[in-house]
Amino acid sequence: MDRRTQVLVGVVVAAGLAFAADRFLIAPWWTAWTRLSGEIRNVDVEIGKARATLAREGRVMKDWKEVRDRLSRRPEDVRTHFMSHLGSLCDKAGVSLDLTGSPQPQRRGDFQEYVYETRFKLTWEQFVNLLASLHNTKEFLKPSRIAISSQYEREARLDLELKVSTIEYDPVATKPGGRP
Amino acid sequence: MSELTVLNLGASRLVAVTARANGQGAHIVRSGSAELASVDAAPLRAAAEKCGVAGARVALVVERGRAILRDLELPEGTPEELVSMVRFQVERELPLPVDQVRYSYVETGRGEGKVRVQVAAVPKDLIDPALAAAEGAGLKVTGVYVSSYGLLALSPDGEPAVLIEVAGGEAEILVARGGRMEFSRTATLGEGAPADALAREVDRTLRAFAARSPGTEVARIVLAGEGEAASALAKGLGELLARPVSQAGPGDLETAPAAGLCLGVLRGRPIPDLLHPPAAGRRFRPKAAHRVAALAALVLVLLGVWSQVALADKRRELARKRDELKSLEPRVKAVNRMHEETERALQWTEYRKVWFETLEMLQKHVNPTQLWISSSTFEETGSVRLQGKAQDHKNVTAFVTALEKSGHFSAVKADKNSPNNDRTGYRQDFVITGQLAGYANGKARK
Repeated sequence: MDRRTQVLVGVVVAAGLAFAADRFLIAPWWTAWTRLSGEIRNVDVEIGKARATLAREGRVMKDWKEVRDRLSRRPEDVRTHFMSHLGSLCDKAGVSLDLTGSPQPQRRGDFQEYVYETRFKLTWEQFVNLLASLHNTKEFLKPSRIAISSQYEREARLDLELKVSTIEYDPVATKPGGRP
Repeated sequence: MSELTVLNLGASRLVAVTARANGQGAHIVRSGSAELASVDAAPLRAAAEKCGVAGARVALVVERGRAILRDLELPEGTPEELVSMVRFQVERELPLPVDQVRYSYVETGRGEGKVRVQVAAVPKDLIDPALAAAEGAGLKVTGVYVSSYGLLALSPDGEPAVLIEVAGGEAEILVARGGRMEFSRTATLGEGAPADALAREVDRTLRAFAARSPGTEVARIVLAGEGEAASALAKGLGELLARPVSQAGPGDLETAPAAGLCLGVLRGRPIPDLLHPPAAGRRFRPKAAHRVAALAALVLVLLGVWSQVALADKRRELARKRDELKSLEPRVKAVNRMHEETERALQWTEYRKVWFETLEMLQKHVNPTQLWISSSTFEETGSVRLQGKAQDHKNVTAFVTALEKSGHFSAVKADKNSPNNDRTGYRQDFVITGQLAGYANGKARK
């Protein structure tokens, strides 16, 4: 074998070895390395989120305690209490309460929501008073839908459809050993 | 502790000597002789058993008369070169082709750029049958030595001395100086009083050595062997030569050379072993390319080790972080759930204000002389629909712009803005739809 052939054979062997090393040694290692690095990055992100969440644990607990305290201050029969409260708000605004249908409970997380649909024919002043009462109440109350209509010739008379709801704390029963 | 048994296979007799070496030196533990019918496996096994040798590692002794000894003086060189030079000289000087002899050598001196070696050679025809017989007898042969070196091992170092061995009607006489064999020969003693014949042969040897090495005085004569027979022979020899003859042991006349060989081998004296001649061992001498290759291999191995260690570290780190995350998860879930329920409950308290603030804002931006809203609907999802009439389409466009700028809407547009035939002056019908800002997934947010 002359010198040139030796060099060519050496180059071919080196290239073959390099290919084999890349294919069977470096590539599997690199794949494992990058997979592990990616997984570590993802776990780091998750840990960061978890720590951020835990950093506001105190405030969340405080807020939740306030809500629970407010909820627990209400009488046990929430529906009757809310009807009574809604009636008093209407009286205060000078309108009579006209409920359509009976509220059916709907589950919202750990709460039961009771939705009340009402209709009013009222003046602009009464409407403003009613809104103010609804706005300022300390009760757990949420307007779900407000539809107001008026006629040009009878601008002072409004037709109001109001859907409001309240909630009652009623956590889902957990399985033994499950999350509280 | 090592042990060696030397067997001297004579024409009709086997001599066996066993020596043992320990930290305090070597000493003979057993010696004996027995009739040997022939040099075959079965007779040899029987004779060896009579001598108390069985299954041992043995060395064979070749009598001086069967060996060729040559002293060579060669130029100094590496051991490999010396091996080649000796072989070359053996090929030149021996009367037999080199592949038909077993030969070995020892270095006997060195100086002035020269190396003196002593070559011992024996035809294979004389050794190989004895080797086959010993192997057949269950003996493991570890070496083959010429008897002269056993005799030499008994010599006192220093002054020149004549060493004499007498056995089986033959005598081996050699002149030793400084532990080195200077001259040797064998002689048949024949019938009659061995002392007379032996004295004649010793005298001849001394004269031959004096002719070869003029001016060298040989002061001592030593007879190999102890015991009565040896003492009587030494006394008679001394009287005939008119010189004192001393004795050297261990062993008697018959076993002394084998005993000397045994002790010599165990004490590590340089004795040519015909089974294991010095070989030109091909020593590996690393070159630059070898070092580079070894370094590259070492680097690759280290890289391999590092890569696996690094992967293992990475896996441990991932496992540790997963454990950490797992330990945080229950608290995080509890906090998230608490937050979610709090946000839900706030829909019925804080966040409902969005509705009323929007109504207030609408009242602020509606100019009743230009625009009149006949119907407005606010849904729980945050969508708002306003329907009414305006004096001009510009009033509608201005109203939409005002709503956009108010910041209460994330999106607002006029779905309808078309003229009508109303005679009240509000000649433009419009429908505006929008989405309240602060709503996500149908829930109000602060």
